[in-house]
Amino acid sequence: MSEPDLSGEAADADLVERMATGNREAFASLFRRYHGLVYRFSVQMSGSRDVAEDVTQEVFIALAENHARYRPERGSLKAYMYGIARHLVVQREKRSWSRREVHLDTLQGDDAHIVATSFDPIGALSRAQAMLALRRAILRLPPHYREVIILCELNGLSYDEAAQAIGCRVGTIRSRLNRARRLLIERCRPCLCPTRNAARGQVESPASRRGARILSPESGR
Amino acid sequence: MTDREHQRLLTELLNEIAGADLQIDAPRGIEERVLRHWDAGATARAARIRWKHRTRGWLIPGAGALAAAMLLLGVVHRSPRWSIAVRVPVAHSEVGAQPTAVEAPTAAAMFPAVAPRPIAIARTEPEKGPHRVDTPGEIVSFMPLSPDARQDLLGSFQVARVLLPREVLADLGVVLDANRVGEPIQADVVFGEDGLARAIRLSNQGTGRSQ
Repeated sequence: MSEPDLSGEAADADLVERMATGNREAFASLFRRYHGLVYRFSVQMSGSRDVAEDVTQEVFIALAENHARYRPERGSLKAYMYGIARHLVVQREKRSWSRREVHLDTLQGDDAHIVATSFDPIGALSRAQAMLALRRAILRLPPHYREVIILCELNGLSYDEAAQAIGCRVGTIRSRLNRARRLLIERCRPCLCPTRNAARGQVESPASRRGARILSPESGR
Repeated sequence: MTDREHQRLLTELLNEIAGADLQIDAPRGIEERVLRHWDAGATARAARIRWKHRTRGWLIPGAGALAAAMLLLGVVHRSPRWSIAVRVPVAHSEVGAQPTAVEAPTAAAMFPAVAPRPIAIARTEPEKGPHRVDTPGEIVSFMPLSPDARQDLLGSFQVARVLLPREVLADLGVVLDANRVGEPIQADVVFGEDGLARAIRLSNQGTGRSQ
């Protein structure tokens, strides 16, 4: 008898059901299916691969131990796991007593990895630096703005899924996203004119910056 | 630049970041650690699952029966003992022109033929000390002065000992002794809550002579 052809949420519900009966393979399948999403989201939220590693591990341990809390009728498993990861990252930020430093070296797109490979090396370089500035601005956002930007803009969740993950209304997601985008534009206004910056030679050198360490989003407000 | 252009550039940059972040991959060590944790908890989890399956059949009825038994025990333990008590009316001596003594007879003593026994089953607290019961001495039947005297006296009433002119005995249908006309006669009169006389009992005490 062959396995039923399940995909998407039905497959998730089936895997969770089997995992609840102690099926190790079902748990491993869930891990392989979602650990990338959870890890990426955690890196984007925290700016640290170490934190993301811990959070990913805790998310799946929580899923294994408290799988009964997941209700398929309330939303997708993906939104549920994003919700756990978000909660854990925010909890870690709240627990941190002093201002925490975030290692941007761990992020893709750091200055060290900026390589101009196109026919317009100056334009490509300024573009890469604009991306880096934007990453920093995202990390400086308050958590409730940061999470909607990361969920909807960087991970492609719909407003409904983001609302399920965060536990709020769709209208709240819309308004937060709008406000977060405006904050990013305000903070990255110089970077959003790459051609002008490149023409004026205003691209900052890596040495002129504060280095690859910036303050956490909590302290950046 | 206009706000729309800023928005467009922001969207482009965010899309580029999203594309670049697709390359972020979790280290393989996480899977090993998570699966090791799963294996470590497998025994306890299996025991939990077995317990859940085993108890599913009788857990709810058993818990219900236990709760009902505890409730019953609590009710029995907290309720006072049921006992039989005789309601003794309180006697007052405030009515009457010349009260000499007051006693508190029961309705059954007053109307032994028609009155029900004034015995009621009542919930009473356990006695904490010696209980004094007034026992009437010589009980003589009362004569009702109204057809509903028995019903009227089921509530509280008062008894007064009075001296009456002997002529009133004629109104009660008692034959007068012609030799003793003019002598007062002692009687116990029962008054209801409204102050009206309900019953009367003639007595020879105080006069030394029986009617």
